Amino acid sequence: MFATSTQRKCWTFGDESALSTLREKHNLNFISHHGAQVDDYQRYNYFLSPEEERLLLRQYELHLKDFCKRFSPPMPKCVIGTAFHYFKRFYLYNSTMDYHPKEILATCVYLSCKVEEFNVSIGQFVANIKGDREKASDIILNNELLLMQQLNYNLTIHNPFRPVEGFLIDIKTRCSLANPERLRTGIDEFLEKVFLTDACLLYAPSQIALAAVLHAASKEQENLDSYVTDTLFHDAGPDKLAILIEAVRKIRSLVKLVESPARERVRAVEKKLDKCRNQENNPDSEIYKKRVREALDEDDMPRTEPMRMSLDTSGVSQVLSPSAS
Amino acid sequence: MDDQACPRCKTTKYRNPSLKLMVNVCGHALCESCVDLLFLKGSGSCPECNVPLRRSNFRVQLFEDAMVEKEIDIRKRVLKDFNKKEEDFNSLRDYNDYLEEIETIIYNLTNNIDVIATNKKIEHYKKENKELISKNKVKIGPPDHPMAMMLSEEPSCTSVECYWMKSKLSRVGSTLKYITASEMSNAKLRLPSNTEVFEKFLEEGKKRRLNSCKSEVDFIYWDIVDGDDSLCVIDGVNEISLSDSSSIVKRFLEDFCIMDVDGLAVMQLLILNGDVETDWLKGFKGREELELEEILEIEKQMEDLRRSEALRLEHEAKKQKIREKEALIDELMFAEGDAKEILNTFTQNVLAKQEEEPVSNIPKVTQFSTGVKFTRGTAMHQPIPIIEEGPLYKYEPPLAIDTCGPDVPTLVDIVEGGYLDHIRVETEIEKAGGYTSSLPCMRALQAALSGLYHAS
Repeated sequence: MFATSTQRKCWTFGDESALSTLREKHNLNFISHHGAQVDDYQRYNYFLSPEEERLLLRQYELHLKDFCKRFSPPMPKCVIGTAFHYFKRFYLYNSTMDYHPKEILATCVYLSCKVEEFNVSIGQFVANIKGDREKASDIILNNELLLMQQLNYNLTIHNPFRPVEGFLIDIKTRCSLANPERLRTGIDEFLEKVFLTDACLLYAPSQIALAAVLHAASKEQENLDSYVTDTLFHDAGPDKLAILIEAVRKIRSLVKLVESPARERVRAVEKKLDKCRNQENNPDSEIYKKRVREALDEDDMPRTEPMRMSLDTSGVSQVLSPSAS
Repeated sequence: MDDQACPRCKTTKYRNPSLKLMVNVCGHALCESCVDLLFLKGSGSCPECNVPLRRSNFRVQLFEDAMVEKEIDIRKRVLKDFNKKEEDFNSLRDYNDYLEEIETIIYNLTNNIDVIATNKKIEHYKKENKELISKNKVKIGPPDHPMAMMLSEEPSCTSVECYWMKSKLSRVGSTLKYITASEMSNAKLRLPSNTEVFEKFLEEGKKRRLNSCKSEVDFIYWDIVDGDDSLCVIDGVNEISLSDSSSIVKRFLEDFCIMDVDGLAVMQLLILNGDVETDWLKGFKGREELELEEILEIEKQMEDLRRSEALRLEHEAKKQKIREKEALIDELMFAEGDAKEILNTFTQNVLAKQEEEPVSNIPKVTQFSTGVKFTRGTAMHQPIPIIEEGPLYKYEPPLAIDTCGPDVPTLVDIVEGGYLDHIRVETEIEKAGGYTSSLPCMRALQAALSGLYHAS
């Protein structure tokens, strides 16, 4: 139940400014950590600004949606919703410069498949990814634990899909609206767009679901206002109704404002990111490879020790060479 | 090797080291648990020879050869009647012949030789020597027959647990017979006049030509005048001659005057068997039946006693409460000072008293009326270990969760409110698995309504 969930306690925020403060803070954190020598004027010539990060993330949210849509076997809606939640939550406390959204995206979807009990193996999963599949599975599995840690292990997500079903049942039972099933296309379109906004970090899933239902109804030239005011909020005070109306209005305006970012700008930002990203977390970088090698060496230590005893140093380098390649 | 085994359940000493074989008069062994099982009702027949047996006659098999046990039983029974003493014979030769005859009888009965003829012989002997037998039976002192000495009566197995009944129970099987006053007079036990029962009894006794009896009197009376059911038991044995009925009535009245009583409950008279056990008693019932009845009767009396004791305690408590209340009212009426304070002190007193109150000491029932103990088998004599228990469980109603939204319809509302019309009906298979369509409906509605009031 949402009312008692960590989603409400830890991951639902007051307003959009709270979200942007968090994002700016982690942007600045990264810059101060990695570019202390760069002066303030030059800073955003090299690093991404918070706005650029937002733009990039929006672009990758679109990628996420496309990836999930094209996924085979086709995945249930709740897997997509959960993956969106994870993705948004992760970048509230991390900078895109630290962890590339491309990698986190795949990891979020993989984790959400597990949590929502959509059973695909890692082999099946990476079959949906273009390019080097082995590398992709390595990246996903490496990042999985990091992602869970950054999510503070709050893995249960309350998606708006079930509340939508609840509202439809309730409308069929307690409201005289003719054929509520025709609202479904409108609802689905609306919910698809909702995940491209920050609404799921700001409002309860039932509020989002109600907004979707009301939006779909207005598109069908129906009016469900009396259902909301007289049936749902019959016993509640007018203050609560006002809060809900405001929330629904806000969600609908958020959805209306959704637009895909300009392609040229995204390309420029991605180029910038390739330069300024944290190379320690870039699997293609030398520094990352070196670290992996060191970690492997540590694992190999006990095995190489008897060889050192024999003082045959050339043997040691030979043992290390396969993992270094 | 030890091959003692129960012929019924085939348990051997090897398999159950605590196996106890029991024998009855027929000489066929049974293990203790089989006895408990078969003779739950107090009597039954031997599974091997179908001889009717009573549970109380079972005893632990002392000798490995069951025939020995059988012989002991028969010997005991025979010697009960063949109880002549050396003084009863003119010469030693006669006495020895007599002993020889006893041994023959016992041998025949034990080995099933001429059983009918032998039994006839015993009956014949009994008839002929009736007076002498009963005379010798009453004689106090150790039996002078060497075998009789050896076989001197052990307490029957029913009497082991309740030592306070032993004195009475040990007399069971001998010739004494309880007759309650009520039984003979066909009158009710509690009477406003205290002599009515007794007088009726005496009349009846005279009619039946009983002229000597021993009265063991148990008086249970309720002091009705006071309204307080205090109970008193007087247990006395008086030698009474029934012919002198006026003296008995006088004695009886004296007893009651001393105690200032108005009601009489139970009185028993022991009638000596000898010349008193007349045609009336004989024609009445066989001796064995009488014995069984005696046991039941004693138990009934014990039960009565216990019940009246409990009743008395209860009444005492009630009286005590009334007295306390009166004291409180007095105090409130006459004492100066804060009424609340007085009330407080009184309640404290009452609480203190309640703590002091001793646990009622009613004797606990340890066996069923059939003589079977509540606890069974070898654990019979071990005290039940007292188990330390933790604090008692206290029910707490489940927490009401704030759903942060409108109230969700209950399952009943869902079923009756028509919600289910819009949901796929569960299949038979799903139903068998415990799934009903109301579950997802409930869940969807919960999800829809929970959090609707959420405010940032």
